[in-house]
Amino acid sequence: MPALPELQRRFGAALTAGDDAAIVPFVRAAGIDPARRIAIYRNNWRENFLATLSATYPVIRRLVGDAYFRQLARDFQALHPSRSGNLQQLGAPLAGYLRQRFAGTEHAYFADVARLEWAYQEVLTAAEGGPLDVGSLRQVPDACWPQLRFSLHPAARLVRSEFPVLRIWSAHQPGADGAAIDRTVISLDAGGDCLLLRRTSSHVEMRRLARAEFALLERLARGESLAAAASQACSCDAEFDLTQALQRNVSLGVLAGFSPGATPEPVNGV
Amino acid sequence: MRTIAHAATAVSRPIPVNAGIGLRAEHHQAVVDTRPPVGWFEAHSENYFAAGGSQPEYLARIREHYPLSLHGVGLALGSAAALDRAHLAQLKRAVDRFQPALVSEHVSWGSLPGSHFNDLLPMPYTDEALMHVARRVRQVQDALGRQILLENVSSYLEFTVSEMREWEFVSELAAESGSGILLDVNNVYVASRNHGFDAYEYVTKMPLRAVGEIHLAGHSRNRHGNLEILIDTHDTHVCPEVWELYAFAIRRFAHVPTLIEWDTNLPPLEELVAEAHLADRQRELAHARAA
Repeated sequence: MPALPELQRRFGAALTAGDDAAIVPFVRAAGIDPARRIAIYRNNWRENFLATLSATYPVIRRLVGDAYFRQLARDFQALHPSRSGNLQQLGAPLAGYLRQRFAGTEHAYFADVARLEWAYQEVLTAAEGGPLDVGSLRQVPDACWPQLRFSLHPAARLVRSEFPVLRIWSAHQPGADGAAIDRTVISLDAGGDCLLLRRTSSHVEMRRLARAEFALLERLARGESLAAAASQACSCDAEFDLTQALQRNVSLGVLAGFSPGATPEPVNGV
Repeated sequence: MRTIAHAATAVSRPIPVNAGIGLRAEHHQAVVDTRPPVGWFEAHSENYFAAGGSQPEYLARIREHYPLSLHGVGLALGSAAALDRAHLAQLKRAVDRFQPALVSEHVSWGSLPGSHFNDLLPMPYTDEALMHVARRVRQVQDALGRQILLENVSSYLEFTVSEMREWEFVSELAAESGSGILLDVNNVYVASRNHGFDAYEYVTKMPLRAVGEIHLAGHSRNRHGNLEILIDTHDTHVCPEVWELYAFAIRRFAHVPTLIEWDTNLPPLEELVAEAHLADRQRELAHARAA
């Protein structure tokens, strides 16, 4: 008689690889073929995964159609099985999977769409944060500003895409007509987006940012100093207005905290 | 086998005896707006693991007005693979935050090392499995600092290696681990039909003081040649046979709270509330007949 770990390993193989032979002798038939009994669990395993993936990626599903989405989910599940007892995590690797699967094809944009949909999910469930203490920020001496480190709100996400993903996403929301993705309605050559996603009291807001502002937030999110982030922003746009960008993102709650960072180097040495 | 007194289930019951309903995200707003007349709510623990956002926010608001039970589906207590400590830590955070009156999980397994089936898979009812699950239940109860209830699941197959009946396994597990039992009457019925045992005997054999909650739900029927397998779908009304078994069970477990589960093909909230009131009426009738 197989011990518990072995029995479960065989049962698992029957679900995932369709390899029933090793477990069938240990399943009571009682009038119904053990393989059919096992198939009920295999079906549950696939359907639960499909339902969760489908709820997480409604735009991908609409883009590829229900039948193809089912096949996609099955192929994806074989390579990236759920790793958690919490279903909400199982869609995380989809964008990477789609990037590989559709690289160099006319459907290369699926990966961008999936990345946006996953970011949307993360924004929905991320922790609360902020607000930034504006009073303390005002008291920071001028000399210390270049070294300040700002943190983004836990529910803010930056998504840079190769394709016009916001238009694709919007055109495939419930109630939208699902515009053709070709040169007539949405042209994939239109270029990518720099998007900021943030949670408001009622919904997830997606907004296009200018490249300079996006670069600023992206660098700050990586933990770089304000000086380094601002210099990156200015290299995108020489006219970039740093003060205005900081004010806007503090008041929107996108910048949700700050720390002094490294002590500035004394100008004339010790 | 040693027996531990079920002290925690025997004392106060902050969950009222009138029936509660399973809480689904689709009903959050309606529950907040209308405060339906049900005794309590039960939420799937994992649905409220999120660190922030509207889901835990809704649960916190609903918790202000109703007693709550947190019902887990993802700990995979019967898996031979190591217990997922991160999952347990998240459960503890949810328990600390929402202060449920009851916390429950399932007598099932669901994962192999490195992968999860996200299902309630059937256990072999062996001594080895019993000791394994009991150890894990104690580990969970120690981590949470409280007793949990363990639910009997619906199953579509039995293992030839089983050394005892399901009700013996569930009862012994409660005794061995000090847990309580969540008696799912629909699951007893489904399993009894699928495996050919007597559902009434099962209910009779459940240890009186260990049962701390009862579940009711709907199921569907799949034909396989001349035989049919019942599938636990939680997508429809409680069927007449299950109501009958419930009437029997609720006479035995007279003061145990009942919950209506309905997870897919969700009807409007009012229909769920009506189903809970039906359970209340069944309970009153059963007690009147017994008196």
